[in-house]
Order: sequence, then structure tokens, then C-alpha cells
Amino acid sequence: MTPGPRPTAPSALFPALVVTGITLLALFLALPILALVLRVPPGVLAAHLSEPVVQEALRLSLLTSVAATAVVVALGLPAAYLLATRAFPGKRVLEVMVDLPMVLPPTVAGIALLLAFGRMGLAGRALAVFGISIPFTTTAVVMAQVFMSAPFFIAAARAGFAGVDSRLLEAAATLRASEAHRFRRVMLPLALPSLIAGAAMAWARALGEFGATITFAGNLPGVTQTMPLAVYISLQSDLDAAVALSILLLAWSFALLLALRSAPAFWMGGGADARRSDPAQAR
Amino acid sequence: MLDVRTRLRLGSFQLDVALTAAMGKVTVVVGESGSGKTTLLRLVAGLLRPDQGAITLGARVLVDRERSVFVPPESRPVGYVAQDYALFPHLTAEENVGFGLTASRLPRIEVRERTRAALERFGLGGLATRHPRELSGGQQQRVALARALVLDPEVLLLDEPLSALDLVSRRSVRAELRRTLESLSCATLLVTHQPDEALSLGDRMVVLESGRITASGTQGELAHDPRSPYIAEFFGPASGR
Amino acid sequence: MIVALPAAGAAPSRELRVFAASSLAGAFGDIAQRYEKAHSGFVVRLNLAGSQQLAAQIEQGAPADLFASADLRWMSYLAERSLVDSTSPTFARNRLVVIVPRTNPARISRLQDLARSGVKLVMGAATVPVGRYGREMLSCVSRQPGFAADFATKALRNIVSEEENVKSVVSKVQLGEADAGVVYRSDVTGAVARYVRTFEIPDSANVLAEYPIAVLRAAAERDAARDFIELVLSAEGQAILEQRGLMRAAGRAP
Repeated sequence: MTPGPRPTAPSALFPALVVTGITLLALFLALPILALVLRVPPGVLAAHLSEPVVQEALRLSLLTSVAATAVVVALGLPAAYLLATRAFPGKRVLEVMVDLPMVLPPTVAGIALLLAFGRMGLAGRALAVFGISIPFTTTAVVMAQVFMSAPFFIAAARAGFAGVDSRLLEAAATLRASEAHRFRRVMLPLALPSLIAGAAMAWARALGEFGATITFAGNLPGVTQTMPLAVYISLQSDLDAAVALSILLLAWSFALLLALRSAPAFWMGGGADARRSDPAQAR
Repeated sequence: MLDVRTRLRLGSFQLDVALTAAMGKVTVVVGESGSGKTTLLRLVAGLLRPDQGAITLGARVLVDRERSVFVPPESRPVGYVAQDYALFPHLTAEENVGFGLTASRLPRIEVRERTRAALERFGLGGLATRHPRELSGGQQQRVALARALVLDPEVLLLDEPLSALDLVSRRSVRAELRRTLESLSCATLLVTHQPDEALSLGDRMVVLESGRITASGTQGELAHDPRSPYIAEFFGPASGR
Repeated sequence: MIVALPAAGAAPSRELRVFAASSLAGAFGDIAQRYEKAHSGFVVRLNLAGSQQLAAQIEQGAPADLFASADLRWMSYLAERSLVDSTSPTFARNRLVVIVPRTNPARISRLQDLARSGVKLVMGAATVPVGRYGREMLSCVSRQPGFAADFATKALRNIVSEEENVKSVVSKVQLGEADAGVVYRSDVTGAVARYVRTFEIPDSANVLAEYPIAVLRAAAERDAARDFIELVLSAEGQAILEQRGLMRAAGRAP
């Protein structure tokens, strides 16, 4: 009698490839950051950070990026909700428009903003009648940041809303809940991890915004010169100052993203990833 | 009395039914999967709109296509327990049960009292602070029932209430469910494909095959005179001549 | 020595990498074309940006054969760091002008108006040659008769944006966003002139921008680079520069 096929030893190739891939990626991402941090000794770093130009840029960046994120969340929540739950004429067009800033080169976006809200712009002309002029102001910085970072939040929020089990929403409806109540008590809490992740990404994007800002808002210390602009400018005259600023920006973004990624796990008692792999879960 | 006379086409499937369900009684709708049982329940709950026809509850019209009336689910006095219960995972058992009361904007004290009473009634007192994932199948079913019944609906819809349970729990939960349903004054519409469930839980039976009702009546009537091969098989050797 | 890479059936092409100030965009574009025609087998890669940015890139090791700066300062910067091959000749000069949008929203009728409060002035950042020249020019102008002593100070206070290169200044004025901008005369091309009005600056107060060009120490195509410089300094090259609004190098007869 011929014996059956011998079981082959588990291949070591796949895990090896995965480990190699991850190591290379980690190195690729970590090395530039490491190089940045090692370039400037802490003493010099501290000295640069106390310069008024740096402090101005930092203050401006924080102020504008927080404002921009707030606007993005306020305007993006209803948009994401609509896109996730309704069909309506022109929906496809709205979807493309919302995604557009993500693929647009920032400088092009800046020009588009100028042509819309600049003094001679479509809407700008009307605003000028009321004495409102937007370019070269801090408001323009916030607008540029909103424009470029909104798609990141809306995409994440939309996926979050769409990912809520429709049967839960139906159950809520049969339990006398109006649409508003369903949104507040079922949609929102269950989509919260996605909303937070989306807001974090939008904030990070706003913080790093450069091309649209310098084109639409201009570059003036204290008014429109955010951190990325300050880095770019000082790059040409004082490399160490540029590096100091970069490290600051980097550290801030890192801390921000880390905190926001850890938070949902904290709040939801285990986090979405943990829950999925929890064997104690009934279904 | 609940009166359903509707027609609905979903893709290649057509549901065409006319049935009634009496108050205080359990009407069991039996049929294979794909026969339209869940669709029927969703129509009564208001989660689907019929193409033609009307659904009335006594003098109250829930939907009437010809007169363009449609009452949305949140305004219908209908309770719905889905097949896998659809409990809110982010809320505790108590919050789940009290959900509809909160949604009705009742004062907080009343919500708390009625919720506690419902939890007691269904033997869930000690589990109030647990989340659905920490409950057994049978406990989850009770939460789902309590959640629907605490609102005093006039119609209760149950979609395969025992199918999500393992065989061991099924028997005891079935007995419990029967006792609960017997105590209700609303019209209960229960859907199942399991013969023993239908036979032990229902007063009247309606047979649904491929979207159409092939028979309705008491168990005795149906068993005595099976109108279709499906019904004959349903009742097994006890049926017919 | 670079070995030409054989490509199936195609003639191998070598690259000459030229880093040039933004204001040389038009002129060097033309000169590059002439060069390629005369030296088949070579492709000229032009990297245009503010001179300060190019200097920083070269310092950081960006591969380049030639550097043409809009001022002597950034060339000296590289020379001090031994990044330049030899002393570099001035191949062109330029003058500054003030431009305003054709619609002239700030109603600027003469240079003095630049000091009026509320005027939105856009200039290059202080590190950009045109920005440095511009600030020098404003100081010179305030010493002219007919100008208040604080003209420069007031004008500088009107700056609403400090641009990275002169072309950004031009576009902001062209788009009507800025009330006025300080740019090179050569930047007012035919296309630009349709959207702006130009104010000349008296020669006595104007700044003369000097453009040096040099082969870089780390150049890979040294001979080709020298050929390019020769072309720039030749009658042909100088004529092209003039056509594009720049001025010839001093001492080079047309």
C-alpha cells in the first residue's frame, strides 16, 4: 500500500519576508527622523527654540491648526453623515469634490483659493464690498489648512458612519428613536474611533500645510508664517535653526498622533482591535 | 387586531400576503428560508415599504399605499426582536433596555423605574451593568425582549427567536419564552422554520411559501388537512390521511 | 569622466545640470536650447529657484554642474565653502522696477505712494536676492530729493508677504492680490505686462543686480559647463539675455 502524501514542514520563507519587509520599512521611516534629532545638540536646540521667530511660528501653527481642525470637524460631520447614509442627485460629484484637495498639488490649491477668495476672486469681490480682504491674513492660513485637511477627516468619518451595523440603527428606529437620536446615541458613539482618527489626521495635515498657505496667505512672521513656512525660509540662511524647528514640529506631531491613537482604546475599554480578537465575545 | 394586506417585489422575489393577527395571541409564520418571513416582519415594523396594500392596527393605519400614508418605524407601536437581537454593544444591559424610553423623552426617573422593573421581570437584575458581549445567548435574548416590551407595544415581532441559541439552551429558553408570550396582551407575530418551535409557541399558524400564504389556521386544522407537501412534511407522520 | 550608457539604437545623452536664479527662467531656457542644438548628445537640466535656495541645495550636496546666482552674495557663500571651481564672471545685470496690478487698487501714481499706510506691498524675503536688493533700493530712494526720510521704514511696514522667489512676487501682483511688488525689470515680460503697470526707479537710486556664474567644484561635466558659460558670455548669449529684459555684462559691447 502506498503511503499518503507526507506533510511538508511549515515554510520559513513567508515569516522571513514579512520580518525583512517590516525592518526595512521601520529603518526607512526612522532614519531620517533619527538624523534630524541627532544633528542638533540639545543646548543649541533650546537656544533656537527661544528665538522670537520660532515662538511666533509655533504659536501661529498651534492656533491655526486647532482652529482649522475644529472647522473641519464641524463642517465635515454632517457632510460625512450625508454621504454615508443618503443617496441624492449629484452625490458622485460631491464625493469627488470632497476628495479633490487630497490629490491636488498644494500650490495649485493655493491658486484656486486665490482665484475664489482673493481680492479679484469670485467670492472675494463680493467680500471686498464689505471691506473684507482675506489673503495675507491669519484667516487665510486657516482656510488653506481647512481646504487641504478636510478630505482626510471626511473620508475617515464617512467610513466610520458607514461601518456602523445598519441593523443596530434599524433596531433603534423600532425603539422610537428619531433620526437625531439614532445619530447621537448609536451612530456617533460607534463611529467615534474613526472620527477621532480622522480628526487626528486632519490636524496633522493642517499642521504640516505649506504650499497652499504660502500661495494663498503669503509669508509674514507673526501673521502667516507657520512652522512649515518658517522651516523652509530659515533653511536657506540657517540650517540649524531649520533643523530645530523641524524637530519641534516632528515631536509635536508624534505626541499628538500617539495620544489620539491611544485614547479610543482608553475610552472604549479595550479598543476596536482588541475587541475583535477577544475570544470571550459572544458573537 | 393587526391586519396585513400587502404586496412587495424585491428583485425577483415577490411577497403577496393577506393575514391577520389577533391581540393577546401568538401567530406563528412558518416557512423555509427565502420564503419571505423576515421581509414580512420588516414590512410590519416599517423598515420596508410595500408596493401595494395596507397594514392596519385596529383603526390605526400604519401604511396605506393607495392613500399615500406611511408611518415611520419610530412612530409605530411595534416592537421588533431581530434574529441576532441587535443589542447595542456600547451600552450596558440596563441602557439597552431603557433605550426606547430615553428616546421617547420620558423623565429620567420614570425611565429608571420602568427599566429596573423590566430587568427584574426578565430575571436580568444582576446583569444590569454588563455589556452584551459579556452575556450568554439566552441572557441576550431576554435583554432584547425586555427592551422591546418595556415600551408596551401593541404588536410584537419576533424573528427566529431561538435560532441564535445552542441546542442545549434552546429548550429551556423556549419554555420561558412561551410563558412570557402567554402573559402578553399585544398581538405577537413570530417567525420560524423550526417545527417544534412553531408547535410549542403558537396559537395560530400561517404558512408562507415563496412569498405566498398557502395555509392558515390552528395547528389541528393544518395538520388534519395539509394543503401542500411542505405542510405535510412539517407536521410529519401526524399529518393528514 | 562619465561613460556614456549605450541604449539600443539611441544616441547616449549626457546631462548638464544648471542651477539658475528664477529671474533667469526665460533667458536660460533659450540659451539651453541653443546649447543643446550645438552640442548634440547633451541635455540641459535647468533647476530654477531663489538663489538662496539653490545655494543651500548645493551646500547639502545636490548634484549640479553650474550655478548662476542673482547676486554676488550667494556665490561668495559657496566660494567660502570651497564649493566653486574658479572665480566667476558676471554675465548679466538687472534693474529693479515696481509693478502694480493694471487695475491699480491702491491708486498708486508715484513711488512715494508705497509708504502710504494700508498699501499691500509684496517683496522677496530678505535672504532672496531680489528681496535684499529691494530693501537696498528703498533706502537709496529715501535719500533722494522728494522723498521723506522715513520712506523706506514706512514702505517696509507695508509688506504683507515675503516671497521665496521673484516669480511669486510677480504672480501675486498679476493676480491683483498685492497692491505693489518689487521685481526685476526682466520679469515684466510681454505676458506679464498685460496685467501690470510698471514704475521705473531713477537710475541714481536703483540697485544694479549683478549675476555671477560659475562651474561647481563637484561638477561631473566640467568641460560642458565651461562651454555653457562661454555661450552665455558670447555675443549670442548676451543678445538673448538682452532680449529677455536683462542687461549685458559690463564691458561687453553689443
